[in-house]
Amino acid sequence: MTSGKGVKIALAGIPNVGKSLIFNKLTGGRAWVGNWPGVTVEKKVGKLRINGIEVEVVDLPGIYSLTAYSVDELIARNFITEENPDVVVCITSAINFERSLYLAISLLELGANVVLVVNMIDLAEREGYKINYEKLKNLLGIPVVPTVATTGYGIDQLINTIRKSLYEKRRHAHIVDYGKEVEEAIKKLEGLINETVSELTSKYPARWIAIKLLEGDSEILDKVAKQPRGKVVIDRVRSLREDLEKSVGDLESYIIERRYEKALKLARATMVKVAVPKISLTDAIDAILTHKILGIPFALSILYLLFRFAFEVSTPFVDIIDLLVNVYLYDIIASNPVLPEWLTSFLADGAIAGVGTVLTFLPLIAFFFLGFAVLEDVGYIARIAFLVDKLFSKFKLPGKTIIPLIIGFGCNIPAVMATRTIEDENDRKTSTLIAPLASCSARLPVYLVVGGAVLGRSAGFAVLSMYVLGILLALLMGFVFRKFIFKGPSSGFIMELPPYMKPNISNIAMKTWERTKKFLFKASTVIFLGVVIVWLLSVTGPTGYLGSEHIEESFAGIIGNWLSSTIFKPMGWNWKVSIALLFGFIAKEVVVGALGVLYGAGEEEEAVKHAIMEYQVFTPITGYAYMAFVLIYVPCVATLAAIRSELGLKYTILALVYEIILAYVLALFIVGLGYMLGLT
Amino acid sequence: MISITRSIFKAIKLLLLAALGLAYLLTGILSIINWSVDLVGVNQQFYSNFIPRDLGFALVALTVGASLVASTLYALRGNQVMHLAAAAIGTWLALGALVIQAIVATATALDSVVLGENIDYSFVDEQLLRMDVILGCVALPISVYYTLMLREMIKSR
Repeated sequence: MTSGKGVKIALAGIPNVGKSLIFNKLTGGRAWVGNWPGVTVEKKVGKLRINGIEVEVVDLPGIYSLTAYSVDELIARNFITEENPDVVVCITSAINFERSLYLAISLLELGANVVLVVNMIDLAEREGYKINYEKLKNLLGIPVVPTVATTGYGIDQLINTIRKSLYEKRRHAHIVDYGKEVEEAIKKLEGLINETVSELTSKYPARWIAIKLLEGDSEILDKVAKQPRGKVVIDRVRSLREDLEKSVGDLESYIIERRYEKALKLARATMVKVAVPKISLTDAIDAILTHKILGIPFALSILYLLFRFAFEVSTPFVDIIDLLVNVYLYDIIASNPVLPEWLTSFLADGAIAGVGTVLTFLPLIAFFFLGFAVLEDVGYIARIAFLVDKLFSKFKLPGKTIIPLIIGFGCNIPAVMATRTIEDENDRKTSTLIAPLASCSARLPVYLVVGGAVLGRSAGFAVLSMYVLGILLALLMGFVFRKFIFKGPSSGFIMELPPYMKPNISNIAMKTWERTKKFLFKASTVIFLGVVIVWLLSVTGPTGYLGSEHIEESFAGIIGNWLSSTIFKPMGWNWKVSIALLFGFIAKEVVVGALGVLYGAGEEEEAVKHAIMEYQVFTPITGYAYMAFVLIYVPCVATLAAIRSELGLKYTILALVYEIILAYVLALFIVGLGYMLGLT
Repeated sequence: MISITRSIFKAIKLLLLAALGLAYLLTGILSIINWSVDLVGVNQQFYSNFIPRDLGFALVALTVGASLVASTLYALRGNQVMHLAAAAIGTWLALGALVIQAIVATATALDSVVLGENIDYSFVDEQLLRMDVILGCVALPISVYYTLMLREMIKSR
C-alpha cells in the first residue's frame, strides 16, 4: 500500500460476534447504510483514519462460511475477490471459537489478507477458558488481536494491527490438509486451472478454485464453464470427483468435515480450560427463557411489553407532531382566504395530511426500534427465534419470522422493518411479504364495529378468529413463497445463541437512528403520495374539482359504485362499504370513520355500529367476509412504504397484488360457504 | 435450633413466592374473564379498576404467576438452579411490567399536558392503581433477594 487512495478493509464474522460494535468502534459510528447491488442485503460502509490515511471500512453480512448456498455468503466472497480489500478483519467469538475459526479458515483459503480478532474474551474467561493468542498467531501465520468490543478493550491494538497489515500482506491459501488423495486431485486441478482458465486465477487463488470445483460449488462451476476452455476443466473435475467419492464418500461433506477438523484442532491447541464452572448466568437464564413450556409465554410477554413501550410512550410525541402539523399548520392553510378552494384543499387535506401521516409514525417507529435494539443487544431476540424454529421450519420459515408476526399484531410497519434482523435474504423477503397478514391494532375497530353490528354474541369469537386466520395465512403464504418463489435452502436454521450481555448504549443509539432514518427517508415519499392520491380521488370527478361534500360523484364514488356492481357483487357489499375499503388504504382504522361519514353517523364507533345495524348494510356472512377482507386486502400505505424501503418496488407490487387476490378469494369463499350452508 | 429457624425461614420464603405467584395467576385469569365479558357486551366485570381487560396484561400476569409457582415446585423438588432461575426471571418480568407501566403513566401525564387536559385523581386510579403496579412493588424485594441468590450460586459453582 503506497497511498491512501482506495484503501479498503472488510469486516467479516459469524452472526452475534459483536461485528457491528467493532464496526462502530472503528468508524466512530458514522456509517453510510445502503444495500448491496441487486439484493436487499444491508451494506454498511464507514471511514477510519490510520496515519492520516482515510480507510473505507465495509461491514460484510454475518456469515458462517463462504459457500454459494446463501446470498450473504456469496456477497462476502464476491466482495473479497472482486473488490480485493487490503485487509479482511475476521471477527471470531471466544465463546463460539470453533465455528468462528471455520470462517477464518475459509477466508484464508480464499487468499484474503486476514487479521483475526478474538472478541468476547471476557465472557470466555468468565466461563473458565483462556486462549493462547501467540500460539494461534503462529499456527495460522496471521496477526491475532484479543478484544472486548463492549468495553473497547483491544480496539487500539486492532487499529495498529490493521495499519501494519496494510503494508505486510500475508496470504495463506494452503491452510487445510485435505488428505493425500484429495490433495493430489487439488494439485492436478490447480495445474489445469492455471493452464486453461487463467483469467479466473487473477481473481481467485487456483487452489481455492480447485477445492470449490471439487466441492461442487455451483457459482464457480458456472464461472469455469463460461471460460473458452472451461469444459476441459469441468470434465476433469467430474472424473476426479467420481474417483474420489469411491474412497471418501460425498466429497462436499468430506471437504467441509476436514475444514471443521482443522478449526477444532486449532481451537483445542490454543484454548485451555482453566476453571470449570458448572453453570453460567446465561445457562441459568436460558433454563427458563428457552424452557419448553415457560419459554413461549415469556417471549410473548416481553414482546407485549415492547409493544406497549413503543405505542404508549410515543403517544405524547405523536400528539405534539399531530398538533403542530395537523392542527396549527392545517388551520393556517385551511383558513387562508387568498388561495383558491382546490389549492387550499390540496395543501390542507392532501399535502399537510400526507406530511402529518409520515411524521406521526416517526415517534412510534423510533421507540419501537429503541426497545427492539435493547432486546437484540442483550441477546434475547435469538432466543425467541430459537423457541419457534422447529415449528416454523415445517413451513420452510426460520424461527425469527415469529418476531415480525407478533409485532404485526401491534403495527405492521415495525413488523416489516423488524424483518431486517433475519440473515438469509430469501427468508427475509418471505417474512416481509407475510408480515402484513398479522392483524394489526388498526384493524380491530373494524372488526368490533362490523362484528358487533351483525354477529351478535358470536362477535367475540369472530374477532378472535381474525387473529388466528391472519397467522394461519401468514404461515401458509410463507410456505408458498419459500416453495415456489424464494426457493433454495435457508441459512436460518443454524441457530447460534449468544451469551446475554449488558446492552451497549452507543450501539443501541446507532441501530435506532439508522433504522428510523431509513423509515423517514425511504418510506415518507410513498406515504405522502398515497395520501395525496386518495385525497385526489375523493375530491375530483369527471367534471373536475368537486370538494369533499360530493363524494358519490367523485372518482372514489365512481370506483366504489363500480366495485359494488361488479367485483364485490357476489359479496353483496354496497358502494359505501366499497369506498370505505379505498380509504382504508391510508390506515385500516379509517374504514370505520369513512363508514360513519358515508352513513351520516359521525366517526364514533358505537354510532357507526348502530348505523350499520339500522341500514342493514351486511348480513352476518357478508359482514364476516368484510372483516376477513379488511384483514387481508392491502397493507396500509405506510406498511407498503416500509415494504418498499426494505425490498423495493417489485416486491411492494407483489405484496399488493397477492394480498388483494387472497382477500378476494377468501371473502368469496366465506360468502359461498355461507350460502351453501344456508346461513343467509 | 438454627436448622429449625432456617427451615421456617425457607418455608416462609416459599409461601411468599407461591402466594405472589397465585396472586398473579388470579389476576391474569380475571383479566381474561373481563376481556371476554367486555367482548360480548356484558357490563359486569371483576375489579375492573384494578385489573385491565387486556389480553397482553393477562399474558404477562399469567407468565409471572406460572414462573413463580413453578419456582416453588422446583424448590420442593430440590432443584435449586431452576428454583432460583424461575424466581429471579419471573420477578424480573414483573418488574419489567411495573417499569413499563410507570413509563406509560409518565407518558400519559405528558400527553395530557400536550393536549391541555387536567390531570386529576382518576389518572392515579387508572395508571398506577393497577395490579401490575401493586404486585410489581411486592415483587421488587423478592426480585432483589432471588437475583442476589442466583448470582451467589453461580459464583460458588
